[in-house]
Amino acid sequence: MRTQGHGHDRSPTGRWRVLANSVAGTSHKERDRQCEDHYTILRHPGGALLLALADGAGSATRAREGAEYATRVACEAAADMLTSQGEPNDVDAWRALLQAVLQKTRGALESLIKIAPARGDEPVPAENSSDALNATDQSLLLPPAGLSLQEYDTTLQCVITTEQWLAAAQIGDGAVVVQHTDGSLQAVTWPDHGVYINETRFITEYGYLQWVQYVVRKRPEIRGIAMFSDGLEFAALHFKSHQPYEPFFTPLFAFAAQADVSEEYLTAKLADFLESEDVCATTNDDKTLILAIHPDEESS
Amino acid sequence: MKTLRDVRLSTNPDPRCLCVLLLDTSDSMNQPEGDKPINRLNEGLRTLQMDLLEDPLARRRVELALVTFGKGGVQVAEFELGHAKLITELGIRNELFVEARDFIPPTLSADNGTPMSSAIHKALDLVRDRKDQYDSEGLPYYRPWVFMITDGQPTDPPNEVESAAKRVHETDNEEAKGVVFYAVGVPPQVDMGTLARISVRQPTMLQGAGSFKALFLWLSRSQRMRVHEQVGTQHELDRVEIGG
Repeated sequence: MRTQGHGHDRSPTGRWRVLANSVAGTSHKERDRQCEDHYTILRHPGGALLLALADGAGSATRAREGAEYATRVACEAAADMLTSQGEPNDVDAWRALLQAVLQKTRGALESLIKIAPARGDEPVPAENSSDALNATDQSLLLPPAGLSLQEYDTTLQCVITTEQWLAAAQIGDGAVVVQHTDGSLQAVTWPDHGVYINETRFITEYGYLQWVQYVVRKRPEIRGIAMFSDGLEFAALHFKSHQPYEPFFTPLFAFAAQADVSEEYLTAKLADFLESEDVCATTNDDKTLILAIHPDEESS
Repeated sequence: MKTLRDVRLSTNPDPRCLCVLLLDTSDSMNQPEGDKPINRLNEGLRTLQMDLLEDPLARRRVELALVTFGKGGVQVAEFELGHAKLITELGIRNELFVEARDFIPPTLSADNGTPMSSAIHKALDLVRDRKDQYDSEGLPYYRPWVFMITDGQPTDPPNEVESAAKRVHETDNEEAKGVVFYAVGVPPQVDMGTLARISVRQPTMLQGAGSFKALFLWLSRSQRMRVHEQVGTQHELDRVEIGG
């Protein structure tokens, strides 16, 4: 069962509880632009939970499509690989799966610019590709002349959790924070801003694979996962200490873990929170937050 | 039942959004007598201040520095409690930068020639040194801007003009991305050809002195957008947009 965009997952059979919400930034509302964050939640029949979150770049004309397509393809690719190859059982195998998911996603975005007609130009293969490139690694070739892949510029965060493993990959900003069974928190990815705070990395840029943050952890020590886009960085992270902000996450996870409260209600409250004055005071950007709680940890 | 009211938001230092104003205060800014460009420039600075103050995020994050060329040669503003005092300074101190919320626009007066090239170097020095300070203090920041307004041609020697142009090109390009350098020309005597050589981005001509206000409003709105915006939004200084 799969949900995408701004709805939360309603699967009654899934083991993880997932709350997710996106709110458009107030500056976007003023300029009548849609939210350019997008997320997809997918529950694999084998039990794995797949999450993907993407933030389209403000400078990109098709940012929203890029973000939407990226999360959808990433979840589908991960699901297909889990189905055909089964669940990886070591760190290297998980990394390989994550990289393959990113390459598939990148390839899918590139195919968008080949489908869409260029402005009278024929697609031209990059004649000057490095000899060192693997011929099958199409994703490092430069895009055809005409329509540019930059128009779909987007970040991408992916999380796959199974009973035994948590695997994540991130290109760009935003972060993934986990809560351990002892309550301690850890940011397993950190926003990638380069020199300037308003810049980041995109899955659509040349040489994107060098910017990937990979995470592979044993799942049983983790009871909660939070995934968010850059709109929440200032509120959720403490930059100087390079840590998640504990007074932000502990009550948030406790809130999400209430088994006796409906997901609809919790999700609605989450939206109110994301739109609150305090949160918006740190940025007018789009804000997306996905919370996943392992059912063993749900409390009433 | 647990609520989200218990959630506390982290506090992080505001990212710094630096804009260096590089302003021509040469004698030609006193002409015509009846409607002096220098007076219009001062009005424009007030427009900038008022508009930035309206934005709660911008007034904390935007910081300004002021370099003038003309009266007194090349001078830099030193700020005390927001008030600017123009000095021929040496060294980099915090007082050379003022947060938008504290900025009290000075009243500039005009005289002398146009040492534009030295002033450009000074402005770029300020940017470089301020970035070093940000880095050593671990402060996040946006790509700094240098915003130059001039009504004449440089009175520096030609090789100095070339060296200033070279430096701008070395830092304002897709690789280095060191700074964003905008040049605006005030008619009628401005040498747009020289501006086009100095600036990587196409220089803009003001459509008459009346559009100083519109220009500074554009500048303020651009900074406001930067501190709010999503990653990577571009800004284009459009002649049509700021026409008088």
